[in-house]
Amino acid sequence: MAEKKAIEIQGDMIFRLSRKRSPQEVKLKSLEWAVVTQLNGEKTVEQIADILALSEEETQEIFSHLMNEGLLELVRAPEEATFIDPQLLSDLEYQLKLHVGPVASVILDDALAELHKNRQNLERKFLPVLVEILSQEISNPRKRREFQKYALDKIMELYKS
Amino acid sequence: MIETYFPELTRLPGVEAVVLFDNQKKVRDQWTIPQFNTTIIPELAESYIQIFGVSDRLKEATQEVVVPFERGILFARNLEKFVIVIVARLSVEISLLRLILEVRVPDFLEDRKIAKMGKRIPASKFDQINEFSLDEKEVNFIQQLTGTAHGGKEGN
Repeated sequence: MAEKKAIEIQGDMIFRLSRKRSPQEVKLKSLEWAVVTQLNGEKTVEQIADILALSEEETQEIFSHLMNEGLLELVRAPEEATFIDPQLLSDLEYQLKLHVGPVASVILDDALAELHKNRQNLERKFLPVLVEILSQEISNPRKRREFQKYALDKIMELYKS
Repeated sequence: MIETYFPELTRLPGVEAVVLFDNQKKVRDQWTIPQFNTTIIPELAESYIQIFGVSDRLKEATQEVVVPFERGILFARNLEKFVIVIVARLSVEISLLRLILEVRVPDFLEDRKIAKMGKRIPASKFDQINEFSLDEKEVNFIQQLTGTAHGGKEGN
């Protein structure tokens, strides 16, 4: 009996059907078939779950089963695995410096440490909370908002790409 | 209105609905993805007006309420005369929603058209229990009652 691996399925993963094994070789439930028909190498797990109105639990269970049966090939890995460009952090640091002065570097490193991260390993999903922590260090509301506006533009650019 | 003042919310992957209503439960604008069941919107308005109404009444000044549900989160922000509710997938970062609102809400509230609209909306939430206080006679009466009660206990 093949050993089953625990796979964490994440919403931004993209799969396509494996060329090595056909779904017809495996006994699948109707919902699993429904997922199989949606796999096109473009739709994310989250999009498929939306279309089929699957709960988080069902999504995890179905994709894990299909994966364990060797029916899926990963097209795109979860985004959490990709770190943000350290240059972006330097840009934020520069903006923070304009409002709080040279202490900005220390504040940034402290904030990263609070998140158990450093300048090289910060995932995109942590960026908004980092901005939230940094913003609290700017006491002037107008300046704080300027900084938040700048950071928001940068974050939204990441979502476009 | 939502697309004008909160454009990032409508572009953010995972956001399914954004509803803006006033504190009288009237939906002022809504934006949803096509699959979203819009029939729940009046219920959302009612629930959050109740929650923020009680909070205002108790002077707790609750600004934000985030409730998780099976497929996502309900994020609501009290803007005094308006309430904005965002329905999003669990993958959406709450801190990002908060950041968008921190940046966009001041522009929204300061806009002349919105400020004019706000002037016509009562300050207290729909069905909000009014403040009440005891008048002098009632205070005296209660003091007498409690005084008697204490007296009775001491007497025993």
